[in-house]
Amino acid sequence: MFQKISIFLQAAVLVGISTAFFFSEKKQISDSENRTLAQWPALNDSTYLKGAYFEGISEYVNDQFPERDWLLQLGNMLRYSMGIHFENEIRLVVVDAGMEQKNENTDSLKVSSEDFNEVYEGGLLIINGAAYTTNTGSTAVSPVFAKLLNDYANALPGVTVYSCIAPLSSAYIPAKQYAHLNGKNEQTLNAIRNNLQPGVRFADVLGELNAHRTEKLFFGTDHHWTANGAYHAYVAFCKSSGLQPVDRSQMNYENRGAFLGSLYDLTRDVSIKEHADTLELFKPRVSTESTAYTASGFKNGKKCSLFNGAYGYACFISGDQPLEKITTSVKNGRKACVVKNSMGNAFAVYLVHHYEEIWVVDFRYSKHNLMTIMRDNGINDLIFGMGMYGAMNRGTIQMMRNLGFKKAVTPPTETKPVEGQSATPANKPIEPAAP
Amino acid sequence: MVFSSLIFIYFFLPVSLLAYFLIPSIRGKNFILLIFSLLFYAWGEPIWITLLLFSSIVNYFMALFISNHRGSARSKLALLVSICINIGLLMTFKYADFFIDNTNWLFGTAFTKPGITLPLGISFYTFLSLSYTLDVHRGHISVQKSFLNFMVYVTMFPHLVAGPIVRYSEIQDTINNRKTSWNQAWSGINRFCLGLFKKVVIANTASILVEKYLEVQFTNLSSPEAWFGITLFSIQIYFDFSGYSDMAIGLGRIFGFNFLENFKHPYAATSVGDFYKRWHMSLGRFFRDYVYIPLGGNRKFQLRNIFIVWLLTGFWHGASWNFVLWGAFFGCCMILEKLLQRVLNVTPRVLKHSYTLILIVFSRAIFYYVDFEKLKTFTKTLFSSEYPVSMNLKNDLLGYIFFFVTVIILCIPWNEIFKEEHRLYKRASRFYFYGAPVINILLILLGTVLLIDDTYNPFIYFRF
Repeated sequence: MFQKISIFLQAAVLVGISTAFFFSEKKQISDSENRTLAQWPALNDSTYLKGAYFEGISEYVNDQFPERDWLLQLGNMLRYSMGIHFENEIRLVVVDAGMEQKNENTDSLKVSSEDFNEVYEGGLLIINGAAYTTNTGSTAVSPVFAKLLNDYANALPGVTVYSCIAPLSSAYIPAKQYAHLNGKNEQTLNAIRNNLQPGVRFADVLGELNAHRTEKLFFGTDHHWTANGAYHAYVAFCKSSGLQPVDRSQMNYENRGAFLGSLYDLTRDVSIKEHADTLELFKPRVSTESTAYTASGFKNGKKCSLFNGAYGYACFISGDQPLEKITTSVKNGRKACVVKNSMGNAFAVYLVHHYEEIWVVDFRYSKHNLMTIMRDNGINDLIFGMGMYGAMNRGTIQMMRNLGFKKAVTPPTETKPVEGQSATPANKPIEPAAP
Repeated sequence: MVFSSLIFIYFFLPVSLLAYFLIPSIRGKNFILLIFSLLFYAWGEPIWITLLLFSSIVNYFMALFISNHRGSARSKLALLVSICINIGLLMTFKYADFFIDNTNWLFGTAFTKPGITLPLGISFYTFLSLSYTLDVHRGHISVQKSFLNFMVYVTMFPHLVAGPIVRYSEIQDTINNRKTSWNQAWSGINRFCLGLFKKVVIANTASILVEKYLEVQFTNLSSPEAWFGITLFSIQIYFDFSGYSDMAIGLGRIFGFNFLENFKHPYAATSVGDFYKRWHMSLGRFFRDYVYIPLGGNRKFQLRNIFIVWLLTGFWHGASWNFVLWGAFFGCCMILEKLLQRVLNVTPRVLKHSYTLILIVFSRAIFYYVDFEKLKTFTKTLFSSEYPVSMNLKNDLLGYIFFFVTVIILCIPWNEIFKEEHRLYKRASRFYFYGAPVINILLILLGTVLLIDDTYNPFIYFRF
């Protein structure tokens, strides 16, 4: 009798949960994971034969399971509770490739796929609730990046090209056994510096950050640097360009409070959750107007701002826009173009002190012709301002090359010319000046 | 589809059980079981269901033919055809790339590899079908005349994709005449939940650490970390496969079948020979009955026979030389044990247990690294490394201490230590009897929590 009752009891629990699935609300986006959730898949001969249809149903069940967010948290807590943890412990966490792919699905991404592929190869170290990459870049690829900058400099006479590359967080892992990774970051960056031709300027971001290494330079819960880290990079840039950096006392300080960034999303690590980051901003006292454009056109430009209300690191220059034009109240006739990945967002905001117009190109999403933008707008400085993972991967370097040299982009047809921009149609793509 | 997935636990299993138990007739039940088994297989491999059907149809008719012409030359010919087709399927769909690769390397030719994706479960259902036709030919079993019943035997989803390799003799009495008792369903549920726990909690957790030590940190491992990593892989592979077998046996019981055990606390073994009497027992039984004994068994050329069986066992696991090497390694170990039998008989149990564990754990490296260069580097690292022990080892030992304690508890053969009449054994059994419903529900919920962000976590033996 006891067996019968217990079998019915267990069956009831199983069927109860299955039934709850049908009545639970189905969502499009997971806020906690920052990604789109799987929807019921379409059935056709192709999806059926390749098994994608059934696989899609399995993913749908997982993604739309009742109380998924709560269960995820519980799961992470359980995994963390499989042992004893100490203060100052160093844990290497291997990032699941599946999780990387899942994160590619939404526009509200805090991170991009190529960032992930580079940064987390080798795992993430978690120390005192802060995550650090163990990657240090590649001296073999650095000359390729340097050549890219040289080619742009040769193709754009009269324009000053800058290398303004941030090291990876591995340079600042607070553990003796990883102290040498700072030197390895330096080797990668020096390999860029040593291969730049005369006239192409190198901003010593690592040196400037090293001088402030006791400060909070990188977030612990996110793969980006802090506004403070970006500020020191800006100082390094000013030193290389001869500009006078504006002191932070002349900017408006704002504390946006605690946030959990991309590395928490990725690892769901309990200790990271317990050590949330604080988002501090240093806002230039310069009036600006920003317009964001789509990947390949100038139609439907969207007004945006230097700092918006987005969560976490996404607040800088309204996140990763394919192309963004920032017009400032500085009237000195100088214009800059920043080619960047997401690390460039926090850096670009400080440039408004020195330029009348700043064009920000995200090489990962933009299909605009960089040469056209440079020439049509009479831009003086071309700044490659980004995190190192953009400069240590042949794929991302090729993306930057394609912006100016290889890709034949349909000239944008403008319905309403944007203020400050020439109405001249885009030029033909330009071939590199030197082989 | 895998047993350790939410769609299986919450949808496929309840619906299939409901349909199965609502149908009163055995014929209807078998039909339902067949439909759900084909759906289960098609979930992951819709295209390869044709191969499964082809193999089943061929074996069904060949066995009928053999039975109808028993004792004649035609019967032998039919058996030969059946063996050729089964082995041929395996060679084509599992080993074609391997043979072409080696031919190209050996003769400098440039044949193109077909690049066939391994059909799920082919190694298991081919051996299962082969054992059936061989047993029919030997007259050990009577032929199954109902195509439906034969298909249920071959495709039954509990054992279809990763075994155990169920012999027809094990289920011939129940295939057409069975009724699940409450006791059978009860023990089936308990067994399924235990298997789920082994897979989701132990094997999947171990896999995270295995990747960390054997892949991510591969180039800068210290020797203790290398041993730690390969021990973790030994934990992973055991709990992964025995977890799957537990679930298969449990599901079989719920559907009224009694499959034989596939594992019997292998890490408690006191010799390599003993280990393989406890590990993947259904495969061991297959090679014993269809290869070892026909070759002469213990009667003639025993050592040669042992070596051949182990080479074949290695090769069965995968189309790669590392598996052949792995088989050869165990062949040599078994032969040495035979030769040193007298010494081993007087060796203290603790020493025998230790050397067995060391050999088994070391052999996992041969099993893990398909790339010989990596295997060479790793083997060197096991014995000497320029790298000091990193903090990772201490942190992971402590950070997963409860996990390791659970692993040790589950590896100990309590039923061998405490006999059934022992007071503690009786108490534990009584506690488990009354606690089982709550424990099972908790295990299912625990599995759900850990599976929620893990859509596909295939079993290791799916790739064999």
